[in-house]
Amino acid sequence: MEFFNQFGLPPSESYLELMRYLLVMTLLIHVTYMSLVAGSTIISLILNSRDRDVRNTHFGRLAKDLMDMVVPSRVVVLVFGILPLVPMWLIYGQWLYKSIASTMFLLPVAAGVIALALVVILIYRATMRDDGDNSMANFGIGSAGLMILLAGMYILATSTVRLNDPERWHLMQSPGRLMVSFNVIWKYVYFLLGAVCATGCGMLFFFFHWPGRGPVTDARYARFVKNLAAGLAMPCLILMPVIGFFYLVTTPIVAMSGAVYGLATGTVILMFIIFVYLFQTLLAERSSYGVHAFLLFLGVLLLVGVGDQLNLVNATAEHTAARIVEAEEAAAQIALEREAERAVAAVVDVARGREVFETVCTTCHRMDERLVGPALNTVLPGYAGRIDDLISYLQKPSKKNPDFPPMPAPGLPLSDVKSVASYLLGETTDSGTGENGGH
Amino acid sequence: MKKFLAISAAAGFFAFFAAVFLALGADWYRNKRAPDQPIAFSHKIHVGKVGLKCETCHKYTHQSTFAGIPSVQKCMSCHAQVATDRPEVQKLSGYWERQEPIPWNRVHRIRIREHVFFSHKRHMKADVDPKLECANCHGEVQYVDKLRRVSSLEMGWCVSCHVSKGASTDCLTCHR
Repeated sequence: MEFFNQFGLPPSESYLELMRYLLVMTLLIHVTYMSLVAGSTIISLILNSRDRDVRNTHFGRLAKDLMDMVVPSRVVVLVFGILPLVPMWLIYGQWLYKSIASTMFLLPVAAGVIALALVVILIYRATMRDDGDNSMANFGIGSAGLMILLAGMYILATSTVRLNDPERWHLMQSPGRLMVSFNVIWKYVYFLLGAVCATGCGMLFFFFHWPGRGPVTDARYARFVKNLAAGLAMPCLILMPVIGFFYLVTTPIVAMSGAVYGLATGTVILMFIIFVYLFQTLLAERSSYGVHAFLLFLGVLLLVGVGDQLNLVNATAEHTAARIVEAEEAAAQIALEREAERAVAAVVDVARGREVFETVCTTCHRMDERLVGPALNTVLPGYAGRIDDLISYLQKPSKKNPDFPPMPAPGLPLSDVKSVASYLLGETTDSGTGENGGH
Repeated sequence: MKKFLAISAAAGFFAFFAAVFLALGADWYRNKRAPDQPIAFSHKIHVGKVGLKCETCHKYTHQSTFAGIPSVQKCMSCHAQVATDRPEVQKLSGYWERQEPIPWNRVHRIRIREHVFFSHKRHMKADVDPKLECANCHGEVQYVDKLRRVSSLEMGWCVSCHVSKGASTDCLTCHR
């Protein structure tokens, strides 16, 4: 946090609003991906373990297919699993500017642990064999990867959910106090259930409808995948509202608002529709419902993400209001300084006016001969005693004389325009009189 | 038939939780959100912009268990002349002309206050480093228009502060 407090700036209201939208989108990408990785690794390891007890070729095959689905390459892991943590850290840094919350310390720790976990899971996937015959060593690597991943996600959950409790930010200096919170635990259990559910819906989507992958041609294997996916996702869907209830009642009141309860209700309605689709998948063996289920589950994750951000908006309302006032004061200070600079620059300098005239204006004008524009000694006497009108005209010229083309705006700073006007009127006073004309 | 029953049971289950979440929301709206006030008094203007100290209006903070709510007369000592064209100030003038107190809705209340003895004076004069400030419990009111309760005022919150400041945690310190 020291880094941000030293080099950051207080955010303005509109800037913070933009940051929040970016954060929701970043979280949607990251949490969806991490849910799929966590859920797939859990299911893959269970299938591997079962494969040793009950020989079934589908178990080993699906265990590998699942890992191929979520960690197909290092680029996917980097883009969806690790990179989103960087903007997340920067956005929270801006949001929590000058706060004493531990998030800015915890987020890089979580990022490091999650990155390590994803590397180990990539190794797990690389050690899996196409024939589905996987050894104990393979299981050990996968379990290690999963444990590290779950630890990383718990730290990530702590770093964000604990922000809901600003009255205890100053008490969270010890790791024990920081990490042990019912609010975080319920959120974490909610994430685990969501991970299995997302993976179930994801299996129905990616295995049967992802371009270049599906549909699975082996009918028995396809039925096995469908039944397992729907069979795992449905109990998790049933449990999610229960855990969501415990999360809501343990969230500090200061983080709540009517919209949070409304979003929670919306997620339950979406969950019911997903449940019906999964139920139909089990009964009718129609894989097209998997697309609906997966897309709707993305909707659930989006609503949950928005709800979490609303929690944070409510919890940090006073902190944010203070930073916005600071930003407004800083902006007012900058405006004052610029105004002062302009005032200094606006001092009329006739020598500068001559210099500007000779470099810019003489392209089209001479004092005593017609060029592109009229001879200035025929025009300028009309402005005698009306320097403000001349300044206005030079800032925004308009066509005045049909015998000449319209004069383009010279685009000079105000100080230069004033200097040129002073130089020109001084020059005209010295050299004679004429008609007011112009272009 | 079995399919219909299963989906009906699921609908009932999810509908129950949807209703529970709505009920929680209704409870929050009725009992826990920042209350609307008869006059939209802004701490942001009075403390943040004008620069009034808390004690200017809540004048018993250092002298009594209660901090005190300013009287209509106190408000009118400035607003007889200041910002008299503003609708909220005109509401204030109305109370003054009718000689009625303003029925403010309470924001900070200890939940089971019959069992708890709390004194503003003791806390403001407590010999702790750093000294307690109003914002420790009431938040940075100078930045907000509508006041809300930012601290839970529950026992765990009180005790954690007493522990961190080295104050007594004996039951009789707060419970009489």
